[in-house]
Amino acid sequence: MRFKKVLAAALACAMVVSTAVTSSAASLYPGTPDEDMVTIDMRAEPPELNSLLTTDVASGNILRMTMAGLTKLDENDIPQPDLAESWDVSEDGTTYTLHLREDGKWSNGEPVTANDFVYAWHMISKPETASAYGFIVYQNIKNGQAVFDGTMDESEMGVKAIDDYTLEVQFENPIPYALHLFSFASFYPLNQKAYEEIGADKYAKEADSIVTNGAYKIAEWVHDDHVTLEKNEEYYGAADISIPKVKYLMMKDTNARMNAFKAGQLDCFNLSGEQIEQFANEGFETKAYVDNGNWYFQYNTKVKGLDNAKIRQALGMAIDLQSLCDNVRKDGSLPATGIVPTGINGAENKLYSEARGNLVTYDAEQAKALFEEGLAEAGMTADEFKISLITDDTTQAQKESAFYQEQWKQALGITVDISPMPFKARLQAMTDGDFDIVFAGWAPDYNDAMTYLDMFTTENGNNYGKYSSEEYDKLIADAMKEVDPVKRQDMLIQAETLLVSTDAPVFPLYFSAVSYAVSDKLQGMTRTGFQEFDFQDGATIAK
Amino acid sequence: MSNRVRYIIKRIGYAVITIFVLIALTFTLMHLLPGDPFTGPKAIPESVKEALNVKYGLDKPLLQQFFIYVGNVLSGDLGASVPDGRLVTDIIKQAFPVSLELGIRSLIFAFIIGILLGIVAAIKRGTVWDSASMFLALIGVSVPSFIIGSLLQYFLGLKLYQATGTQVFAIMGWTTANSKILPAFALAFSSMATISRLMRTSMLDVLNQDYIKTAKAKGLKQRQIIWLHAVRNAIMPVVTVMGPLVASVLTGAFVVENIFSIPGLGKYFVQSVQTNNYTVISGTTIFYGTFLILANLVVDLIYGFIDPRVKLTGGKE
Repeated sequence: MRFKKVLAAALACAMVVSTAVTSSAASLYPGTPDEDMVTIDMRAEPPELNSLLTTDVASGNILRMTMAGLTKLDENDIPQPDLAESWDVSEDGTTYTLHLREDGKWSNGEPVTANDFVYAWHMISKPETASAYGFIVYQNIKNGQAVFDGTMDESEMGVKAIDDYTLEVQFENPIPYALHLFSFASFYPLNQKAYEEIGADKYAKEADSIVTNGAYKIAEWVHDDHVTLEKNEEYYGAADISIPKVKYLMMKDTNARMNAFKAGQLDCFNLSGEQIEQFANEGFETKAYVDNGNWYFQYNTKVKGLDNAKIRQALGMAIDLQSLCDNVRKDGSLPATGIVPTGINGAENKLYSEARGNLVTYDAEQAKALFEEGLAEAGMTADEFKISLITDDTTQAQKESAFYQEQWKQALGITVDISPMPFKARLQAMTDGDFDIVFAGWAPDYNDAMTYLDMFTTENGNNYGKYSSEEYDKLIADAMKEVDPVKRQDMLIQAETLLVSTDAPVFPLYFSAVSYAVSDKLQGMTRTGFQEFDFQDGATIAK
Repeated sequence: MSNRVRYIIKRIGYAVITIFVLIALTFTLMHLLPGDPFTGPKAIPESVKEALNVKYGLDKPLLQQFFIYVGNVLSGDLGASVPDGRLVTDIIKQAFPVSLELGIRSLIFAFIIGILLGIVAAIKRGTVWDSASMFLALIGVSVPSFIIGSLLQYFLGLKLYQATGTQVFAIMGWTTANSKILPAFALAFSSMATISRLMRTSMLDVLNQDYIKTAKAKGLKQRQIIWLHAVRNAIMPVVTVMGPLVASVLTGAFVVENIFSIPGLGKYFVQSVQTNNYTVISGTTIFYGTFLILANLVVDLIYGFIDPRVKLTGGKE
C-alpha cells in the first residue's frame, strides 16, 4: 500500500515537471536575458586579428564588424560603398579611382585617409611580413609581384594616394570582382602610427593592442572564451547600427551548445545533423544557408589507372550524390552540380551556376561501361586496379567514406581502401603527391568562379593531383584578361566542363550548408557564404 | 651535510634530468609529426613559407633549433605560438590559473564527499548505506567524466532551468559562481570514488585496532571515537594518493573544460598537437611536466616530515 502511494506521488511529480518542460518548449526559445546584448556561438577563437596576416573565418567575423574598408558586403553579398563613397573605373577595367568619405575615424582619434590603404598594401606585399594571404593583394595589384620579389620599389606599386581622400588602384588585369575584393580583410587600411607604436609582433594580439575604424569596437577579449564587441558611436554609420553589444562565444561541445541555447544562454548556434532532426520534431523552425564551401575528390593523375580520364569519369558517375546528401550528410548540403557552388555571382547580375547548369550525372550503368573501356585503354584488369581514398579521421568522414566505398563496389565491382588521416597528415600527403584519391574541400577567397578554377592550372600550388591541360590553362589565362563579363564567364564555364566532365581530374561531391538555430530575440542577422555572422545590415534585438 | 639536505639535492638533480629528457623527447617527437605549422588547406607561396620559417626560427638545422630552444627555456622564454604569434608564457599565464582553480575546486569536492562517503560506508558496513556509497564509487570509477559532465549539464543545467525558470547552474563558461559548480563536480567524480573506496578500507582497518576497543571501553561516545581516533589515523593513505590525484585532475581537465567551455590550459595542450604548433606543444608539456615533477617532490618531502617512519635515504651516514 505504501509503495503504491509513493509511486502515485512520483508519477504526479513527473507529470508536473514534464508539463513545465513542454510548456517552455512551446513558447520556443526567447534567447538571452540581456537587453542590450546578443550572444552567439562562433565555435573558435579568432587566431589572428591583424588584417595583414589573417586567413580564417572566425577572425574575419570580428574584423568585418570592427573594420571599415573601401567597400562592404550587404546581406546578399553584393559590395556596397563603405569608406569609398564613389569610384570611377577606366575603360579597360584595370584602374579604379576611389573617392573616400572624410568622416572615417580610427579608434585612436586619427582620420582614415587614402595613405592608410597605401601603407597597408605596401606592408602586406613585403616578404618579411610573411602574410599567407598577401598574394591576393600583390598578385592582383599592378607591379605587386615584382615588389614582393624585391625587383621593384614599392613606390612603383599600383596603389597611390592622389590626395588624402582619393585613392588610385591599378590592377594587373581587369578584375570583375574588384569591388568584392575591396571588402576583403587583406585590403583593409592600417593606421601606421598605431602599428609602429604597438609593434608588428604585438599588434592585434589583445583587445587593447589593435586600432580599428569600423561599426564596432572590441570591448573585451578573453582568449578561447569570448570576444565582446561594443557599438562604435564615432563610426560614420552608427545611426544604422541597432544592437549595442555582441558577444561571441567559443564553445567546443555540440550538446553543450544546444543545452545552452535551450536554457537561454545563447542566441544562435550551428546545428549538427541530429540536432536538425530534434528541433524539427519539436516543431522549432531552424535556418540554413549554403556556405559556398565545395567538397570533392581530387585524383592523382600520376597514378596508373587514375591517369585515364574514362576511369576517373567512371569513379564519379558511380556515386549517387542525392542519396549522399539525403541519407548520409542530412545537414542541408546540396549535391554538387559542378566545382563552383550555387551562391557565386556571375555575369549580368545572375548567379554563375544558372549559366553553367549541371555538369554532374549519376549513372551506374554508364559508369561501369566507361570503367571497362578505361581499363582496356590503360591495359589493366579490374583486379590490378587497387587504389585508396584518403579522408579525414572524423566520424562524419568515416560515414561518408563507407558510402563511397559501397557505391564503387556496387557499380564498378571494385574495393577501394579507405585511409583516414588527421588533418595535417592529409595535407602533407596531398603536398607530397602521396595519394590516389583524396577528399578535399575549398572555401572561396572572393565572390567569383575564378577562385575555384584557377587552382587547377598546371603550375598552381593547390593542384595536388598534378592535372595538366594546355587547353584548360589557356582558358583560365584568357579569362583573366577578358574585359567582357559574358565572354569571360563562357570561358570559365568551358574550363569547368573540362575539369568536371571531360578530363575529370576532380569529382565534385557536395556544396556544404550550415544549419543553425536562432532565438526569437535576435532578428535580421546576416549569415552567408562570405559573412558567417554580420550584424550591420539591420540586425535588431526584438523587444 | 645532513641526510636531509643530501636527499633534497639528489632529488632536485633527478628532477632537472627528467625535465631535460622530457624536453628532448617532446622536441624530437613533435618534429616527427607529418606536416608543419603552416600547412593549411590553401597552398602558401614558397617565399612566404620561407619568411614564416625565418620568423619562427624553423629555418635552422633541427639540432641547432633544439639548443636555441633549451637556451630560451632556461631564460624563461617559451617562444611564440605558431602561427598566431601569442607568447606561450602569456597563454600559460592566462589559461593555467583557470585550470588550477577548476582543479582545486574539484579536489575539495572529491576530498570532502569522498571521505564522508568512505566513513559512512565503513561505519554502516553491510547496510544499504554501504552498498549505496560503494555503488556511487563504482559509477565514479567506471563512467568517464565527459558522460558525467553531459548528464549534469542536461539535468541540472537545462531540465532544472526548464522546470523552475531560474538558472540554478550555468551550462557553460567560467565567470559566475553558478558556472563553477557542475564542471568541478564532473571533474571530481572519479577522484571522489577513489578516495571513498580508499577511506572505507582504511577506516575498517582502523576500527578493528586495539586502541579503538580501548576508547570504547573507556566509555567514549561513538562520535568522539570516530572523529578523534579513527578518522585521524585512517586518513593517512588518502594523503598519500594526493600526488597522483592532482596529476589526474590536471591532465584530465581537458575533457571537462571542453564540455563546459572553460578557457583552461587543457585545450592548448591537446589542440597544439593537431595543428603542429611546436612551441605550444613543448611549452605546455614542459610546464605540466615541471609542475607534476615539483608536486611529487614536494609530496615526498612533506611525507618525510609528517611521518618520521619514512626515512629520507641518500647519505652514507
